[in-house]
Amino acid sequence: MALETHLLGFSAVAIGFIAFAYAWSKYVEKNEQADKQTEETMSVTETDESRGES
Amino acid sequence: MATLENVGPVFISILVVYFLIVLGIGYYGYTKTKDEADFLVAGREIGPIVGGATLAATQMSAGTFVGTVGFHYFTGISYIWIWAPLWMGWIISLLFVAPHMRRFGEVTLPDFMATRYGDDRANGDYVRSISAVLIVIGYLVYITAEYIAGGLIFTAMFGVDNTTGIIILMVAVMVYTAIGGMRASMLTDFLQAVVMATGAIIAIPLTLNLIGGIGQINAIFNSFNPSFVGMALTPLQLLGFGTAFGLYIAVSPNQIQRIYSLRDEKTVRQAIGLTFVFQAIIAIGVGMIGVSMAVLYPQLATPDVASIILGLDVLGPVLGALVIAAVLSAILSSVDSIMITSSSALSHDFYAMIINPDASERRKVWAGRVGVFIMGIIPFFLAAVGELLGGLVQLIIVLQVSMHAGMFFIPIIAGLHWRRANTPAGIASMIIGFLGVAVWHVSVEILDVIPTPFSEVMPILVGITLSAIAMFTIPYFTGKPSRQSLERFFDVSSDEPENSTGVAEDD
Repeated sequence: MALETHLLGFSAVAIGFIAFAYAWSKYVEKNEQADKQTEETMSVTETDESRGES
Repeated sequence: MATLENVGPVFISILVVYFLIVLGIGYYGYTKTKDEADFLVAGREIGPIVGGATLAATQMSAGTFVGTVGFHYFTGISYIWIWAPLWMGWIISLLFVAPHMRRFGEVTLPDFMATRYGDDRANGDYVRSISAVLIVIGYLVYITAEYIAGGLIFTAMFGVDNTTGIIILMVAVMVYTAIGGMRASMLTDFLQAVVMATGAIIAIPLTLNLIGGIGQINAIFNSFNPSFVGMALTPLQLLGFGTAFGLYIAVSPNQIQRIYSLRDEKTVRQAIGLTFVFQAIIAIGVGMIGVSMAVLYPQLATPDVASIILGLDVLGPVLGALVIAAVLSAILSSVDSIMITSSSALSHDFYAMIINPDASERRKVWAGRVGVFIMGIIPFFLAAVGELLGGLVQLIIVLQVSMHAGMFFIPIIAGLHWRRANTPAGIASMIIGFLGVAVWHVSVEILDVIPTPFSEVMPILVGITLSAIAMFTIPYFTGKPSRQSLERFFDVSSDEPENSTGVAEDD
């Protein structure tokens, strides 16, 4: 095996790790936004319902 | 071989300017430190870029710039692959530890242990004390490795004897850390990570140019030692080293304290992503430096001086000074943050929690500073018996990471994700993991009583296996954890009510 094979292989692995960390960060962010939106929608619905009852 | 006396004024000026900047940052940290949270977790104001750099700089120390370069010098390029399992540790941290710890949001790792495993009839104080003591023991080993590396560097640079070199380093680090606290430590880390990455990037083309290119390195080693550019270490050996580092990174008390210092969970995720960028650049840099130095200087007295000879003899005054600054920075950055973590174990987890709970903020900051001095002096004496701890810098650091991984990996992962994990299991898992590593190391390396092939099993594998057995069996013979110990980590709203002792009824 030559030196450059190690370096190229290692660089590819490093890029993989960086890409995974980036993708995971975006995935969690998207989920958190979706959760927040759902909570907001639910609280608006609850407020509307309680107004209707009164 | 050159020493600092004959490298010229430009070299010395760059070193002096660099360390004046570092001292300036220390003074800035001092002026900004008003209370314990400032001293230990920098007021929780650190953003993703400084955070990513500081996570990288804290992980990479003399172990990287002295020990890892030395190991590449000694074994060749294949050692670069230990970074892959080590980064798996960061991924485990990203998915299962770091954001959860930031959400928990305390100050030290013993805070977590005392809360999650707090059913010890002392409100978690016994667990806190045990974990603080074990953290300190592991880090005394670590600081010893850094002192040995620093001694080698000062001997190579100034021509002073090893003990004098260690004393210079010890005094500089203790004063710097005691004054600046975590804020100065993290800002210095940022500067040091940038210097390390820049030094590594520029050193590669310069050394390759001197040698005649990668093809020349292949040609030289293929003729008499092909494994140097092939696979000198077996996949099992690489996995053993990498596992020790990876498991440690996921639960390192030092990294967890850095994580507490970051702004929020989003910042934690971004910082871990950015730390891979810094680390990849530096990994390739140290690998190539080690291999290149084996071509340029095949007869060095010890592999651990390869990077310092590179700076003094090969790279010229500007870049040479930058690389030397990077190596000294690596030691300074790691030792100061380790001292903060250890002194916080002594001051926050012993002094403020157990000895003097009513201590004022000012008294707690000073207790932290006294802790720094205690942690600074003991390794000076341990350095005299460094051979018993592994000898080479890299091997001493492997012992320390194995101790901390053995004692904390299972209790933290189980504590965050397994509701059944209880206090007896947490305490036993922590102590047995630590003892497994320590006893195996002593039996193999000092007493030589373990026969081959068992002696080739790395201490971390013994420690982590015993720790896991303790964690996953004991809860089935003891009670469930209390609601109080679970409520900050799990949704307990639908749990059954507790009995009069505060412990949930067992199944």
